[in-house]
Amino acid sequence: MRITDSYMYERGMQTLQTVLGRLANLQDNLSTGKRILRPSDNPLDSSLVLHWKSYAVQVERWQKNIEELKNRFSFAEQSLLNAKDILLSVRDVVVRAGSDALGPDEKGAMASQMLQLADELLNTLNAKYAGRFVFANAEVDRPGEPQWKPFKAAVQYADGTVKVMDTITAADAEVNRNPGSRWLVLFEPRTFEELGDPQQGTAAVEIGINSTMPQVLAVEGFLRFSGEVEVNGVKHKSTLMFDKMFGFVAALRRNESLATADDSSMTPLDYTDDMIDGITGAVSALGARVQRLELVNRFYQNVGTSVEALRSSYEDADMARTYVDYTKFNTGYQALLKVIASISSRTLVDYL
Amino acid sequence: MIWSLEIAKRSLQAQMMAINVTSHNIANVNTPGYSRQEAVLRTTLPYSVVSWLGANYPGQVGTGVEVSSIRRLRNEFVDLTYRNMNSKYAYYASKDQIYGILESSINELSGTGLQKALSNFFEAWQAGSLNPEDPTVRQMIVQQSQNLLDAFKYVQQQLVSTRHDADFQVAALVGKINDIGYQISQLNQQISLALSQKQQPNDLMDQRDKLLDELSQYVNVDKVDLPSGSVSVFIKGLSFVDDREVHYIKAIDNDKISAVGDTYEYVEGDRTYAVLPGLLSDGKWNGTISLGTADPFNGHVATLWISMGDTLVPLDGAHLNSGKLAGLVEMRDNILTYGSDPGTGLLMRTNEMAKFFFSKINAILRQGKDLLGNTYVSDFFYVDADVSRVIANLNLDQAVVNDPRKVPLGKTGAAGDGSLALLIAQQQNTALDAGDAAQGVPDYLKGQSLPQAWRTLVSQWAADIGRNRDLTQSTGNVMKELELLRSSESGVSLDEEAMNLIRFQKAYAMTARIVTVVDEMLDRIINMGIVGR
Repeated sequence: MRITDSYMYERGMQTLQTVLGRLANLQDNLSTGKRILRPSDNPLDSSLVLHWKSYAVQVERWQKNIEELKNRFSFAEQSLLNAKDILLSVRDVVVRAGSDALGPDEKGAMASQMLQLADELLNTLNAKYAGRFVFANAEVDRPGEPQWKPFKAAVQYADGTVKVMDTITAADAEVNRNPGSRWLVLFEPRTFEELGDPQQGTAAVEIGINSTMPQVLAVEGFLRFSGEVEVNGVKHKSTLMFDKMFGFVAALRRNESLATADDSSMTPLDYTDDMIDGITGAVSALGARVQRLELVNRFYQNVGTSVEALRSSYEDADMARTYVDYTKFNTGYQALLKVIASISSRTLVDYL
Repeated sequence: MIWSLEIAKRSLQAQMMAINVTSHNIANVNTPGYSRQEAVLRTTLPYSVVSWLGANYPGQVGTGVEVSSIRRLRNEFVDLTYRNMNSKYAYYASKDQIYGILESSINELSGTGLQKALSNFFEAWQAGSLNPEDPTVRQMIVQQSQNLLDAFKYVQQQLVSTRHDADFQVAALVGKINDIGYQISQLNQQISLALSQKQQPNDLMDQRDKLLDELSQYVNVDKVDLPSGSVSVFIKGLSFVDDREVHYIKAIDNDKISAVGDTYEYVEGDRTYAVLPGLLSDGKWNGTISLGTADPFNGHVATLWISMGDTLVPLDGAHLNSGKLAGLVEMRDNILTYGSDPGTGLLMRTNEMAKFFFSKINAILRQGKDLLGNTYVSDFFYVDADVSRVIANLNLDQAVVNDPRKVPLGKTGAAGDGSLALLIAQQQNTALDAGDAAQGVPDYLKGQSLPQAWRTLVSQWAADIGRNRDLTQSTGNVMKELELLRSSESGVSLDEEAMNLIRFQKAYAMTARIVTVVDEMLDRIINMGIVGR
């Protein structure tokens, strides 16, 4: 093969360009810390990197959802425990009021105490977490009606009409002024039956791929209702627990004992225990949910770490190896420059 | 003796001519496309002496040297291979260049692309399922929905902009190609004239070869040598340069060609060109670009034709199989717009994805009520019925933008009902063809959610870029080898020329010595004096 000047020039340039191109790529890898800078650098690994990045965002979101649900359920649990404490106080009154030795004054005082407990129980059922009612099923808030509450104290007059009151104490005063009337606590039921959610029509939140959890505890799960009452055209349910408490207060005022069983052979104490059992069951249900959430959260904490490790294994550069490669090519480049310089500077003319 | 002087004269002329050729070589050592030349020396016709000595005479007497020709040292086979490879390399390199621009502007790995916008979009709806009554969350849903639209529009904008650049280059390249065609036709004229006068136009032939090299970079060409010394140039069977005549290529905007009956015509000033019938399928140039109507993405794109008199012959994929022009057309029409192979038809595929995804979201949201209790009857996203205009006309329901309370996050519209938000959030992992939305979903989207479909498209596209880059590199390497081979065959070696210079100089000096010797001999004879003195 003839080796001409243009041959030497072109060959020198080609070799320099090749080594420089490799050096530039290594420099990019070193400055960004990434092995793959563009999808075309490694299409398959790039696709996996995109997948893991997207999955990491999802996992992070599920963890946020889980955290939020845990906080809500913990607050609901506290509220239910508070309700249980109140009901235990009610039970205490009922037990004491079962004694025939008590006089009308004591029973009147107990009736007043029962009223205060009922008001407190009502407040507990209307508890709010971060601006949302905790025990309202779907209707967690009604921004257009700031005074709205899911549980309302009301008076039902002898003619059947119903008037909503602010508190049970106020309702009781109204009842005292209107013989034949009674106070009660109404619940405005808003379940999302139209969602077809098997968990009593409550809205759910995603905590994993195709895995959801109801975000509220359906009230129907731990409270019992005695019947429907219509207020301003809206159907409400009368809360059995408060119906019974009204009965207790009325009996005490009538100087009756709370030890007598009704037609169903249930004593007031039986009813009170029944209420406490309902609340305890709800606390257990919430506890089970929180426990599941904690388990899932721990799982996702591990998953998050694994996902990041996987992404890094596909995308990130091995810095030590990259730097060694860079040094190797840089040394080669320097050597090449010297060789080209020594060849280019000599022609036959120099020796003539 | 006088004869020796004649031989010396011929030698001096021949050595001088050889030194001139060597000087020309040295002068053009760095001239691109220059082929080294060589003075071909040969002996002049010998002189046969008629003698009474008959057979005992030593034979014919040499009469010296002459330059029979000045030869251009060039390998036609290497030229042919080089041009073929040059066309292939330019084809892949032009695609690589466009791919490079596009990949920089739509780099999903940078964490700012459509994939990220989709993640943010679904995250916002997740938050909506958790706190559907929260005005901040609703505002976030509206914003992230708008961001997703913007991300789709950005992708489309980059694709359209790149397509516009490719289209611009196609039109600009046609001017260059025509210019080269004209120069070749002019050189044909000069070369055939020189050859007819028995002259060897080496430098003109070098210039023509250089133009053919450059032309092969732009378009696949076949050269046919004519007896006159001219060449004809064909683009896969279509005559481009016919000796001294050029059939110019025309780049005509697709919407400027109008249908007339069963055929098409193009009016340029006072001249009307008719498209040769029977060469277009479905009234589309290259099977993809509709004629006589606006292009859905760029308004108009350049279609290529070879003009033969008043007739236009389509210069399309049937003729363009390599070269930069073919690469640009392939990128513009197939890869960026209408291709059906994986990783191609990016604009149509992105629009189809947008169409089926946003239509599905609309269908989900139409089941619900807003926070004010009103049944949602609008389209949350406006989706154009024409699939090629989906992203261009994609818009968010203005009522929702003005009042985020109107976003229907639940079926009931109640404050705590985020059931629809949950359904939408779950679309992140739900196939586009799942449920009622299966109708019309093309096979390549089936079984994939939108993020999966986008990732698939990106990886297919990236694989195509990688494959093209490998081919660019491999054809580039072959090109480099061929360039080296050419340099080896036709390049000037200064050392060699220095040796030649010494060789011819020494011959010249020695010839001059012959003249001196003969001169002295003649002097001795002439000045011998009178016999006997």
